[in-house]
Amino acid sequence: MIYRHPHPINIFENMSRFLFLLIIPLIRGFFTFGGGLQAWLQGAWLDVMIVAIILFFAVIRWRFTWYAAGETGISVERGILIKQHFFIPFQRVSALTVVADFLYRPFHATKLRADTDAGFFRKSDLQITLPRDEAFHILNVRESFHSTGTLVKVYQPKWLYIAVLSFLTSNSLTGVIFLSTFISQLGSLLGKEIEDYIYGTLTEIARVLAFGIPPVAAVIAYIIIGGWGIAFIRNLLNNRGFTVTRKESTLYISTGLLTQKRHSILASKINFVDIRQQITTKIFGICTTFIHSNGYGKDKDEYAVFMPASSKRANRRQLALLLPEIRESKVEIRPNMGAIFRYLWEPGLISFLILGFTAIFALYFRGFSRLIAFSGFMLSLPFLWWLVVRILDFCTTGVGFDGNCYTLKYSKGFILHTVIIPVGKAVTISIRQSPIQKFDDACDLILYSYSENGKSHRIKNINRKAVEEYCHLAH
Amino acid sequence: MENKSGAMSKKALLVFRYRLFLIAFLLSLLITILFPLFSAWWWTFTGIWVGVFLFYFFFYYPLKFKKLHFFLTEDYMKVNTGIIYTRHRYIYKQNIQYILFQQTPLQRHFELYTVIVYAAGGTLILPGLSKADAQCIRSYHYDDLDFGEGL
Repeated sequence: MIYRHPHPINIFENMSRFLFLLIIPLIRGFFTFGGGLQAWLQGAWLDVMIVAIILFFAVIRWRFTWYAAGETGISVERGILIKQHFFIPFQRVSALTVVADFLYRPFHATKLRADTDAGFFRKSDLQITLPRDEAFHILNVRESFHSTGTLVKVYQPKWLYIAVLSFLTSNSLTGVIFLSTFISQLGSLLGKEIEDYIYGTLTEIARVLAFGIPPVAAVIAYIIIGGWGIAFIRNLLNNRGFTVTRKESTLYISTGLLTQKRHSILASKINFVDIRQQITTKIFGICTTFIHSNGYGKDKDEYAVFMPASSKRANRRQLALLLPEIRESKVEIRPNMGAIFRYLWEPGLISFLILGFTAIFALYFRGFSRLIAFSGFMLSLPFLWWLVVRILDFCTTGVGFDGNCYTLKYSKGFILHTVIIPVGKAVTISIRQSPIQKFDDACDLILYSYSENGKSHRIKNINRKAVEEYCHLAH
Repeated sequence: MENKSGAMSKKALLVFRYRLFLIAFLLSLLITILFPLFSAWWWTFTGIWVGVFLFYFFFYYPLKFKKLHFFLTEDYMKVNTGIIYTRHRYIYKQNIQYILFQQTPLQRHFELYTVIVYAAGGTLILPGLSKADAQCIRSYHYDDLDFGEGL
């Protein structure tokens, strides 16, 4: 194996973002100073020295990092004082990802991420920046290590389905955080006046577009809408060109317009398939499918999507073609009718308390009764929504097993999950019975699937004896 | 496969104690800078670091050195460790994902390695192994794979 240094762009990665905060004011100062180089250096010598030191250490760090890709895996050596050496065999890699960021593309640089079933939950086991050709060469070597066959199936969803996925995965908080980070960074780089100017302009626009609403409420509403819009566009760009290709034992998932990503996932390393529905998507008969494989969907703002959106029937058909080893089975063990209270008490109680207190306050403070009634109703809305989810959950929940895979239907928060777990990926099965559940011999089934952080799936209030017989069948 | 076993290198205890001396020196320097010499605070903090130093020098490190052993069998890797509580940890060979070999400057001088075994569901850290033992663990996991240079 031949050891190489990462792509030189890694030097800039090694420098923290504070360097840019230091460099740009320095350059700006240089061009606006007008007193000549010597006079500028006299004033800014300390800043220049700090930049030089940061650059020096970044170069040293880059020089002391080597990688080599052989036919069986990737080897890495790094460290100046503390030396590290490790080798990740391809047979252990669950997901190998090539990320071509649009900023990196002019330099022909890409990031290569390798993940195994071990290591850190939020961090890849290996991330290295290297020339684009080299990254794809490694991807091809890994492919030839696992398969030699021909193309089996390609799945490319319609543009509308990608839009649906972006719609479902967008939340205004991400957009607001992104927007405020962008503005404050811009402010740090270009000056406080610019930051104030942008915030001022946005506030002025909101005031003009208030249409009779109090300006404060209008600003909050437009921040939420604007934030959501930004998150939606970001997700749309990230999901654009989404394609799944199944080639023998490996799945290839390509996605992204500005930042292009190509994931290579071993089908045998997929821990479970998660088909998700919300109330809205359930009404339209649409579902979104995710897969859980250590390493895929680990990046910031990245989701482990398998099929962005499709009808239930299309979903089953595509799943059977792309992942024939993971099949949904019919749910056979369900909770009895008496268990409905267990499903409804949390959202029901909270909704009842909110509405009850709203009524009491409205009676006591008659002058504000309209405002209190409106606020109380708005506050109870998410919980009433949750109540509907729980009713749907109760109607569909249960466990199924076909000898190869468990099928679990349950809800978490506002989402209805249908999770399919291959038998080999079910690490622990836990049957929990509370004193109240003893009366009708019910129990909670908690199934832990193979994961870096112990993923659990819970089915509430099902018959203990039936579950035990079922689990006995499973093993 | 023939069962193999190993323990911490004798030099590892020396490295631990060198490291302890270095930390003790820095602590004493800091205390001398921060507090007036022979003042009540100076005596208190000096007493604390001397106590901790003696605990680690005569009790903790010798016991750690004595207790750490590893065994490599065909199916699993077993590591005996612990200072007050004795722990026996088993990792199935099939669950080992990759192994990281690390050397600090002091370890490099004594040709010692810290071996970190990453497995599905846990991580095992084996400090102060000799080069031969580190190589033994390497070949145990990687068999005949081309590992590249290093070690």
